[in-house]
Amino acid sequence: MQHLPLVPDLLLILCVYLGIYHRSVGGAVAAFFFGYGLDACSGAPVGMNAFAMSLVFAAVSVTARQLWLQNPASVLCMVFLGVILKTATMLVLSDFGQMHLMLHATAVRHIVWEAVLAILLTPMVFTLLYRGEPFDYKV
Amino acid sequence: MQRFFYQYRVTLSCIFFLASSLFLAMVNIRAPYRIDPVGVLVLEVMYIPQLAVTWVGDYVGQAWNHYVALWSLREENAELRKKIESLEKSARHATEVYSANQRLSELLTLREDIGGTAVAARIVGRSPLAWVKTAVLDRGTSHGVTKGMSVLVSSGVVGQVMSASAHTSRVLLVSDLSSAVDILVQRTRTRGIVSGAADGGCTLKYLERKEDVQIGDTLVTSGLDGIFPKGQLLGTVTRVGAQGGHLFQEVEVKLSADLSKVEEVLVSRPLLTADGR
Repeated sequence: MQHLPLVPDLLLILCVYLGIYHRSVGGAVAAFFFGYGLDACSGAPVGMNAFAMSLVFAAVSVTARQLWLQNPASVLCMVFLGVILKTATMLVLSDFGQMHLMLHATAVRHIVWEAVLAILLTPMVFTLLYRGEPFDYKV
Repeated sequence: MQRFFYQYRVTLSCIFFLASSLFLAMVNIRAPYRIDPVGVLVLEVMYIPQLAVTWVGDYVGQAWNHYVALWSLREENAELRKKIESLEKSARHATEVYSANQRLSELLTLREDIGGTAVAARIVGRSPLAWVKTAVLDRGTSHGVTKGMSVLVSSGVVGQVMSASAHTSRVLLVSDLSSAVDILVQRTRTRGIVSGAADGGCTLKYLERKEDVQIGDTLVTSGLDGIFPKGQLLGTVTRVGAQGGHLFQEVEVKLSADLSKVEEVLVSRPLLTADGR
């Protein structure tokens, strides 16, 4: 656990992006299938990532409906919280299944670092996605 | 009803997917080895993109490794170059030391040969003028060097001290026009005077026409001038000039010591002082 590779959670960043800029059924479907695909590819019990991604999407979209999140600081904050939320969800689910996958202090540190890494990549990912949007979608 | 669904479609879809995924998670967590047909399909679909990503990742990784390796090679190369420079410097120094050691050994042998007191000195300067053949030694009167002392190397005669200060002395080389060394033709024991020539070489003067001298004859110091020890090699005859109507023969001499390359010399005490004592 002490040498876990830091992998940026690009799908989660994408999920946050959808939650902020695409609060639609399509966004919810995409978030679900991102998680589902992750489950299928990673070998985790199917549904864990799907649920976590869906939850992140729902949380971000609800927050975005109440608050103005289209500014860099809010976006970074949402990504950070998204990583924490997703990980916490995974922890709860895995503990529920008595798998104890990540219940370790090292894992928590690792999650914080992953969140920091995600924050670092967020501006680039958001810029690329925002540039790819049709003009009428842009705020 | 339809309006309600439309108004809360996002929330409802979120709830739906959350519920679905939670259900899936619950089922699969409890039965971790259950094969999920949709998961298998997704896995199959993801195979090609994963392959592509892996290939790109490997390629980038290899490129990165090569790049880093090149950087380390560059550093290693620079380090080795430095080492080579250092070793070359050491080798040059060792060669120089070896060469100096050889020369000094020869001087030591010479010193033993000529006997008496002799001072080893280093040539630290030469006359910049082409027609004045002098050299400066790093030894002077404080080291025992005085005017009139002979300057020798193992290969032959170099010159004589023409002036000396406390720490340096000036040597008149045998190739100078004003130099004169009393010599003997080794083969015939004929006496003569070797002096510098205008062309930078040396000539054997005052050798009568009747005297037998041939090309290749060896010339040694006679010791009669009171400066150079007897029997020191000076040079060889390289040309014997036309005897014509001249009183003396014209003989060219090649010095045995290469005066342009001499570095260390032995300064030998004169056999007789200037006032004849």
